[in-house]
Amino acid sequence: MSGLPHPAWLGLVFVALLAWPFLSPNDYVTLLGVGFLVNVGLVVGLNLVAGYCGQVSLCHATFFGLGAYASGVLAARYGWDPMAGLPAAVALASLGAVIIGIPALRLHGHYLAMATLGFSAIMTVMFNELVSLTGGPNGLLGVPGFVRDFGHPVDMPLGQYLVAWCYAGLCMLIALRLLASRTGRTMRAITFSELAAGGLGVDTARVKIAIFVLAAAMAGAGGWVYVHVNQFASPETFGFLRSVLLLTAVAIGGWGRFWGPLPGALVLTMTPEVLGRFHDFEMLIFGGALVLVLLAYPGGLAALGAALRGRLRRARA
Amino acid sequence: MLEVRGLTAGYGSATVLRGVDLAVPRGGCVCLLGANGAGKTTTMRALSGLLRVRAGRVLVEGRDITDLPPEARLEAGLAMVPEGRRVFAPLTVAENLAIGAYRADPAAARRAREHVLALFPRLAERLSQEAGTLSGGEQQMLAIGRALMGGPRILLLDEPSMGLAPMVVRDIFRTIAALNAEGLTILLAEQNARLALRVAQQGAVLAEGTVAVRGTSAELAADEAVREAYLGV
Repeated sequence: MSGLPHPAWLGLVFVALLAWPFLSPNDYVTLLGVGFLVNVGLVVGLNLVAGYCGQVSLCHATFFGLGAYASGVLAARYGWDPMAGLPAAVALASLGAVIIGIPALRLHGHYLAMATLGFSAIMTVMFNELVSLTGGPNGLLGVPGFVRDFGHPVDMPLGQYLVAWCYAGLCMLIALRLLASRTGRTMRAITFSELAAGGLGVDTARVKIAIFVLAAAMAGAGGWVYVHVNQFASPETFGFLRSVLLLTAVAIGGWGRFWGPLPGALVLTMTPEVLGRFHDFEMLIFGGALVLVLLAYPGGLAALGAALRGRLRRARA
Repeated sequence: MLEVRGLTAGYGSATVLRGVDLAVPRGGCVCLLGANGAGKTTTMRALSGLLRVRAGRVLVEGRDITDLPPEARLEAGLAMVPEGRRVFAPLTVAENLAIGAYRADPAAARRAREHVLALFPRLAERLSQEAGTLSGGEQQMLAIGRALMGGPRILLLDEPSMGLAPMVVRDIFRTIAALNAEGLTILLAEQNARLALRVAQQGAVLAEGTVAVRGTSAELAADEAVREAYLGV
């Protein structure tokens, strides 16, 4: 299969990632790891839609937000257990994707980009205006964490890291299984020529909608992890800018590259840490670096890795 | 077997086909000739369901398929080999064939695959090769093989000679004749009128969106106007 690793490699990478909370010097660094893993899950889903299916979605952060608010509101306002919020988060994000995806993906061309742009704007207004539910611009306060007060507060970052680790690992495993399946082959065919695939009886709209909804469900689950780790949610986290940054992370990692989401999410997570001191210039530096990387390596960082491996193999031979 | 009545279709505000009538008998091969832009590819797209028909009917074995989507037309027995081949370059030969059998059950797909590989031994040697690395002729073989994977009863071939060397074109046309001899019903849209008329029993010449001349291949090959316009003599 073109470019897909053996599942054991995925297992090895995630076992290695387990070491992070034990190596990290403090809770802050551990929580950076949590942020990274949530970003991995988000980028994996968006890579399926944008990288493998060639559909530009500009509301991935909105699905992330729907998941976060679904579980956050149920827990903070109605006293639901955080664990019970997961199905609600996945369901609400999937529902949003069905509503947007079914009309937009039946059409060819850039309709998904336009529809998702509109959806992102509408939902940002909703997050801000439904004050009685979401807390509006001030944010949603009082969201319980995964471990309740009777737990050991010292263990909290470790527990949160494990939840995020499971989330990211599961997203990557689902993506791997999907891409290795018949549907994965069909996705690649659609990306290459939708017309030819359609002529062979592939219901291209149905495949694209299914992947779009799956990616939204993954983002919704990511929102669930996020909201119970941060115990807070506010609209700007789920806005248009975040959606664009996620798409950027897909590009940096490499469109349609299985390992791409790892470097992509790493850059996405570390940029504010490294560039934060430049304040207003942060986005300018990030954008400039992005242009340079993509000019030099159009296939993204994952492609760069593959090229280096190939060179190493040739040098040894 | 395949009947087209008053087919009208186009793109946006442009009407390309203005009432095309065609009939392909069971086991027959009919070629569709015409200059560039006469509407050959538009006819093929309308027949395969990739382009919405504005008026007219398309019937397969008496069943009206005009309003069916491409996947349902495939189930009705109609498969198309698109113009310019459009093989899935990043996928291997085997994967391309597998997508052709997207709607077929596994046992039928296995039989179809054996048939295709017997027909095109070159593909059998290159199963794990990426389709984009094949030569033009091999890509055309793959495109035909991919269409055969669904077990069609009617094959629509759009410009199979496009961009291929004369030697390769002869090979492809030999295969088309062999498929027709096996009983497959074929509608062949082709620029190369000389070769097309040799394979087909009947022909129709499209001009300005409608069938200008029709007849048996021998009649068309002898027709002064056809000879001048399409055979270059």
